[in-house]
Amino acid sequence: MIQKKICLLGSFAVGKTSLAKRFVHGIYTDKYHTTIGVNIRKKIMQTNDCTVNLVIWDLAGEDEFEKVRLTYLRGASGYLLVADGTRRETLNKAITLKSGTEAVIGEKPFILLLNKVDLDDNWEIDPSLINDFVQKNWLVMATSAKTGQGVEEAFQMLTRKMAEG
Amino acid sequence: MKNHPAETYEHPPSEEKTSPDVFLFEGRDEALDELRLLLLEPEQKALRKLQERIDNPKKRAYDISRVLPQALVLCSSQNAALAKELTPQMDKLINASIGKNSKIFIKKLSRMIGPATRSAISEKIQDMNTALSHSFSLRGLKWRWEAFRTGKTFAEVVMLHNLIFRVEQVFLIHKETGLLLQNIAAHDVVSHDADLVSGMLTAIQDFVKDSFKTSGEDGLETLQVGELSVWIEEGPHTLLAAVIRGQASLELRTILRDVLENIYLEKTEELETFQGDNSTFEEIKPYLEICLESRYKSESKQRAIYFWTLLTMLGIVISVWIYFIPWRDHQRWTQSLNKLREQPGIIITSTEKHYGDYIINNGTYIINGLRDALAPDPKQLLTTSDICPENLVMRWKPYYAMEPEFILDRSKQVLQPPESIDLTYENGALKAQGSAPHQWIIETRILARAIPGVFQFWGDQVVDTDLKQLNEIKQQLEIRTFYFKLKTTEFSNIKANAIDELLTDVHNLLNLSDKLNQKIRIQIKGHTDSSGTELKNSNLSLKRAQQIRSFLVRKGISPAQMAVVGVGASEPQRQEATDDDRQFNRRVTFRVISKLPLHEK
Repeated sequence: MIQKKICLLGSFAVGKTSLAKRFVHGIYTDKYHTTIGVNIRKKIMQTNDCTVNLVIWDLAGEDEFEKVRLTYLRGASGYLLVADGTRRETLNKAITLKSGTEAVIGEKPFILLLNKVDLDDNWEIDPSLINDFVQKNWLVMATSAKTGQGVEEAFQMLTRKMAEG
Repeated sequence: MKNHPAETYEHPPSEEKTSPDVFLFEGRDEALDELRLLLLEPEQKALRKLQERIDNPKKRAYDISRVLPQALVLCSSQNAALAKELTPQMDKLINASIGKNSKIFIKKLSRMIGPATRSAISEKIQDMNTALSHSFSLRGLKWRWEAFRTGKTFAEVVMLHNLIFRVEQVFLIHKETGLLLQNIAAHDVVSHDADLVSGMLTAIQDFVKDSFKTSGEDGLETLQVGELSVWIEEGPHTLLAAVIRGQASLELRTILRDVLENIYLEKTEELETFQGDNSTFEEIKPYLEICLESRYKSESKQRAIYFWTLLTMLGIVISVWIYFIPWRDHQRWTQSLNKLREQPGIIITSTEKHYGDYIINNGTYIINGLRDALAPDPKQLLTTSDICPENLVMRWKPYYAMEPEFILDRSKQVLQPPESIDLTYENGALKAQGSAPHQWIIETRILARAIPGVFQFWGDQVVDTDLKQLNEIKQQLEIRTFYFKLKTTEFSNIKANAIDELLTDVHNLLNLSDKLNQKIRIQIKGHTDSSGTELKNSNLSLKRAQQIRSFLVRKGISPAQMAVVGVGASEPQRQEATDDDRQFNRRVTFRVISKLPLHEK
């Protein structure tokens, strides 16, 4: 069976663990638990032509006190950059993290996830901004770990991209 | 052709006929050649084909390969020469091959060693199972309980307890991605999600390296979790993690390292280009099986002997405890009862004994009975015995013991005799001897008969000390004489304290008579000498007596207790021949007059 390591990256409290939990276990809880170091989960995905064992490394979120441990990224076949749509600054952080990641593992398939799309009242990301990313050939998806919107699709998409190489 | 070894066995005899054909070729005549061609063409063709097969090494090898197996079978079945010839050649070949590339052999051997080890362990389990299935030792029962409780088989529990260590799981992990390449677990071990374990072990390894900035390949080598430890061996592209129960020997580290090296050598290319497909690593499972090693501790026979000796001794001690202690206790109890029974004044009416367990309590003893108040305290009597006072309950009812010593003691207690009295008791009679005050004698006569066990009292021999003293004073008083001068009431030659001594005597006499309830009077008798008239003498003698009485009255003596009488010269003390004789007759004397004789009433 093909195995792939993917990483979830982003600022603290953007919903990385919630996305992983929603994807792997199909559950969501309101309670916030900060991730210490890394959480590892796995899920077997069926793509068009093969079965992939997806090993998901949910890295601790980066904040002003704690940098992401880039060694955890080694060997990742792809990654999900997670930003909180209700906190503009998390998007900038995601961009910074992308460059950091590429410095370690080179160019790999990735998707920018704008999470918490269910909180549309507080949405801070301008559609024009998203267009800028799309222009740069970035894949951008809006997700909600709470409602499950876009979660499965995001992981599916990344898996497909990794399979394509 | 004849020299060819195969020919010797394989050529059919018919082929011998082809040899004359050779000579046909040697002819030079063309007609003859033509004729030969016409006549012998098919044979010639066959012959050429045959020649070609012999000359061409490839074809000949092909031919030999077809018959070689049969030839070998035939050869080995007929004699051992072939094997003898081939063995040194084979040895050389194997040596050369190992020297050139040992990996191939290691790979093949490891495939055999893995299953062989498992098979050996399995047999060991079977042996232990059989050996211990009939075991009813304490430990055996304990392990059976554990097996029942945990749902494991008995053999598994036994094995776990006898293990020095066992490698339960082995993970081969791709170092860069943290992805699991292969894993293997002992047959009875529940393996949790190996992918996650693999990822997490890599993360921990990365974390440690990152945090402590270790150099090069230095990373976490050991994790300890309760009884389990995880040994991690790191290679160029892989991590080999072994989960070990117990204390593994350092040899295991070498084994892990060798396995890792072998895997690397065999799968160098696959590891260097690993893209997530672990199916190619299925082949390295035998290597991992080498790591699934177990070591057992053997129970030495010596220990077993010690164990049984100890158990037997314990059994003896328990038996002694169970049988000896109650026996000793019973002995003590009987001795104590006998001691009480021998004691006068104590009568045991019934006893009860409640046996204890001799571990926490030693049982309770109950004694019911009668006890004379004068008998010694039973508790004091039993202080020397080994019965614990807390375990002894005694219920006594009072009674009068009729043993002579008790009656005597009781009499002494009631009568409180003075030291001068000797009391004895015999056949129901209490006898008093010696002397005692009058009051005691009187009271004793009344009390003695009321004492239980005293039916008679003999006290006549007891001297009344008060009465004795009364008689002594009486005698002393009656010899007292006061002398007077001629024709006067004046004392002559009187001692200085004579009058005081008289008073003391009178006082004592009257007191004692009161005490003895005796009615007495003191007669004071006046005397004269024979000179003068009888009348004068009578008056003078009376006056002399009255003078003494007056003195005593003045000193507080009641006049009623005294009587004066003047007898003149009628009772002379001496015959009057001289003046001295007459002086002795001018006197006053005393007499004690009692209505009753002065002795015991």
